[in-house]
Amino acid sequence: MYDLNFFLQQLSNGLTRGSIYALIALGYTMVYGVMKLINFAHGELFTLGAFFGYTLLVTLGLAGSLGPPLAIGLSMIMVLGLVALAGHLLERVAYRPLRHSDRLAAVVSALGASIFLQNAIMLKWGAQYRAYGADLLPNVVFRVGGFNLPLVRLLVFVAAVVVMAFLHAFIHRTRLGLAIRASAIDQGAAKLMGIDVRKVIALVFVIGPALGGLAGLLVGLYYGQINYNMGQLYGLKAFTAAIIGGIGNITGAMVGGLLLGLLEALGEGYVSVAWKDALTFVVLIMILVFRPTGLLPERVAEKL
Amino acid sequence: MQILSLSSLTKTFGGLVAVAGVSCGVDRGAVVGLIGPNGAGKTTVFNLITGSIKPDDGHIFFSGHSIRGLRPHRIVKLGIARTFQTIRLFQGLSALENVLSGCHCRMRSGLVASLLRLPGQRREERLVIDRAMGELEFVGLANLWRATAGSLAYGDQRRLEIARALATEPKLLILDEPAGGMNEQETYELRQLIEAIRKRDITVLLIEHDMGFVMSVCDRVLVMENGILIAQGTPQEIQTNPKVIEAYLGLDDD
Amino acid sequence: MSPDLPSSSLPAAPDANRVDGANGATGANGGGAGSNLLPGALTGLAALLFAFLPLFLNAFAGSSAPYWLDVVNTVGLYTILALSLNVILGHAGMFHMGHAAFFAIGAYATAILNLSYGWSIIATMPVAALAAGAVALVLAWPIIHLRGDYLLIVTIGIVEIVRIALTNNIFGLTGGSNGLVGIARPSVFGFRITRPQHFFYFIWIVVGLTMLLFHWLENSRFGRALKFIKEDTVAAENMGVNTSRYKLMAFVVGAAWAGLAGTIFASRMRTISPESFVFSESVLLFTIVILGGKGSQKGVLLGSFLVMGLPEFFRGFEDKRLLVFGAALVVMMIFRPQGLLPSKPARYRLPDPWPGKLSGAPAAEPVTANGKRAQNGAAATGAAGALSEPSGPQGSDPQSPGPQGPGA
Repeated sequence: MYDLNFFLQQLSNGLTRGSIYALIALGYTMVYGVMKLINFAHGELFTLGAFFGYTLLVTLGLAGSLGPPLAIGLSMIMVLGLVALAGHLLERVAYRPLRHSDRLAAVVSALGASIFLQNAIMLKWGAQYRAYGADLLPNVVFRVGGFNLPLVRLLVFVAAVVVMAFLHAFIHRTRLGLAIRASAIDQGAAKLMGIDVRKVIALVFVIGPALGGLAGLLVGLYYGQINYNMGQLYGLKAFTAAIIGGIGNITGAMVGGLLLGLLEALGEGYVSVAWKDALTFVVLIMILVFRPTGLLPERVAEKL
Repeated sequence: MQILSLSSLTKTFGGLVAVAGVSCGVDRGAVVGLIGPNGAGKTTVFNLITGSIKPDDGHIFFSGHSIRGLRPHRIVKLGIARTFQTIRLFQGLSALENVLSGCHCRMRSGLVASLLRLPGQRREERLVIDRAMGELEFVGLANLWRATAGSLAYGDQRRLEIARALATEPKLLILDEPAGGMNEQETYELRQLIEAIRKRDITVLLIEHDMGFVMSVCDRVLVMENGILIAQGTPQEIQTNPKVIEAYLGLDDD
Repeated sequence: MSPDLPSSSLPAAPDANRVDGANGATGANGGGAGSNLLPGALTGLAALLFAFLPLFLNAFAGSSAPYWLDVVNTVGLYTILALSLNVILGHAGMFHMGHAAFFAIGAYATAILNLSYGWSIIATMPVAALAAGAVALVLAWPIIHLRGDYLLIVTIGIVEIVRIALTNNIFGLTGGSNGLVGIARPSVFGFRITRPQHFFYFIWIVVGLTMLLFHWLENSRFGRALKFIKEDTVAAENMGVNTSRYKLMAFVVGAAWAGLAGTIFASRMRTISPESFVFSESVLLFTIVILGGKGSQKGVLLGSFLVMGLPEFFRGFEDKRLLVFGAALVVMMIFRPQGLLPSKPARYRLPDPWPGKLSGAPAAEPVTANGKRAQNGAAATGAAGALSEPSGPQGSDPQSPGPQGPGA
């Protein structure tokens, strides 16, 4: 068991998981960077993506009628769009009216939205687990050296990384991306520079949720099963990842996600499965207490 | 006898040296003014004294004991109280409750006594309210004891802050721009108040921009510029000090 | 009996304060924050009527009486829990979504002591409180400095860790995910509390006790310190309040009391498992406090009835319950963030001689003999503050520079 192949197995597992966490973490970090608010409903947007994907691929049978590659590709795009819309609606209903109120009100509203969404999902799709189905993707397994790399794992990882690369380019190479970065550093100054901060807020509430929704779809593909309250655990973990990378820091969220995924997979493989979730929380608490700005070197320290 | 002495006090923020090796003393019973152009580091010195921030170097002695590194509430208990440049009252609470916050550190009722409302606790409550009202009366706000702090006129809020600080039974009172935004009448009354405070055997250290005020009420004046103490002396000495005049490019009688 | 003046937090034009302070600042409230007389009487009447609830239910609800009594008992239990959370969330202003963890610790402490060591339920109560408080102390100590939303996230993590620990049968004591079964009933002075009627009185007496004690706590030095911390932590620290110590104490007190509630829960259900303490329980408690009005006891009571009791009337909509709560939270924050029954500002009764001193004040801004505006108005009687003399010796009252103690 303790050999190179096992290690590589856990490594690839961890990276894939981590890429999913990274996608979700990006949603938290982008919203927090601009609004200094933790979007508690983000986990539910992730779940929404998973269920939208389920509806598209299984209920509507796209996988069957279009064939896996096309169906999955199309679903990804549609999920991105649908959850982006959901995120936008969320922002308009639960956050925009409270932009000038005190923090507790915004936090509670976020919480309320999260509760509402979670239960809406449960009512619509039921409380039992839904299966994406194992035959969605051809059950191909690559053998690399001595260890097995299932196609789905590769696919999920690649999809996540590609999307993140696009995002990175967007943030660092476009004017809108610049506007987002500026608003994250100092909203007031950004306004003075002529940036319409309200549009920026609306934008992060479209991009962040879209990424989270995609992650939901990927989880459905990867694990095959989804459930109405998966957002809670994933959300907490992704939040931890965002904290690890320094909340508000986009690159940090990506790195933090990958790190967390690796940590989890290795912990699971070498320590124990039962306590792996508790491990995440312990990590979270440790970081918040000892190094709240995250593990990455403090380039721009005062994001907090 | 020096009640407060700073020696080589230094504080840096990032690349900016806010306070650079400041050494000076405040005599017991005096009223000392700290002046200087904006950005000179005056409020930083106050924050260092009251423990809100920790110095990078140097020492602070209060009545002979080092208070460097102590948390603010400990320093209050030792006898230093302050007001803030931007008023920091408990805006949603009444004037009386604001002053009661100052009384907190001089009370003894703990968790159990409060939970069970023991007789000693009830007695202490009565005493403390009486004391708080006394401080309100001292600054002339007794009739507004029920008013919400946030609803008071600006000048009254400043006085309330002073009452609150006095409630901590300080030996040294630190006032950060107490005359800020006051008109001539209010400034005059403030001068009176400070004199009355002095008569209570409380030492006063204040930051102010109103030169007329500073010169008329302070025994001694310290002048800072760019984090350095450039001059100290009596008001007359300071007014004629060339370095000071240069720092201000002409002293204005605001 | 003079009619009570409405509690006003507007600048009191120099009007009379509560003149009934003239009979000395005595009574159950001392010279401190007092309570109204008429609403107090109404409350007493309501409490009296409430005490007869089991009889009313038997008369009107017939065979479903035990069921409704159970509902009322549940409301009561959650009220105790919510009141304990109120100390942390409402009074100290700390965002806390992990309260179910302390509830669980108390329940498990009772279950373990009772099942494995044969302790009587009542005897386990202090231990349950102590255990919950101790765990809270250990857990909160490193995180007490955290700011709002971060604290929230961490408390969520805490409750999950506790639940996972319980599910994984930590120390072999907790029975894993099946929990512990067969917990005894409480027995007070030999009387065994078994039926809903018994629990009604047991629970609601504890509710009353809780409200009384926490009311006293709120209107004391301790409670005020929490208020100051909530309003402006930095200012509080600079006024001599040891903010981290008080935040920690508030946490521990709230947790310990939740542990106490855990004992009641364990002996009422006779079976406990980690499922009873999931995150959504914390959410319910949080909702109760926020919806009702954080900091306000009446608000918490109302919140408890609404959140735990109201859904019972809409049995068909049981699964939509949380949906409604979620939406309610959002709506409340937009339209009424202070809660349904927000807490009122504290009322103080001035000890002698202040009522007399202040009530003799003139209405408008009087001009003293020196021609200066006198803000304090007490100048008329000569019991002047420091401001009515321009210079020279102090005014007519040699004691005015410093407040001395009772009786000027």
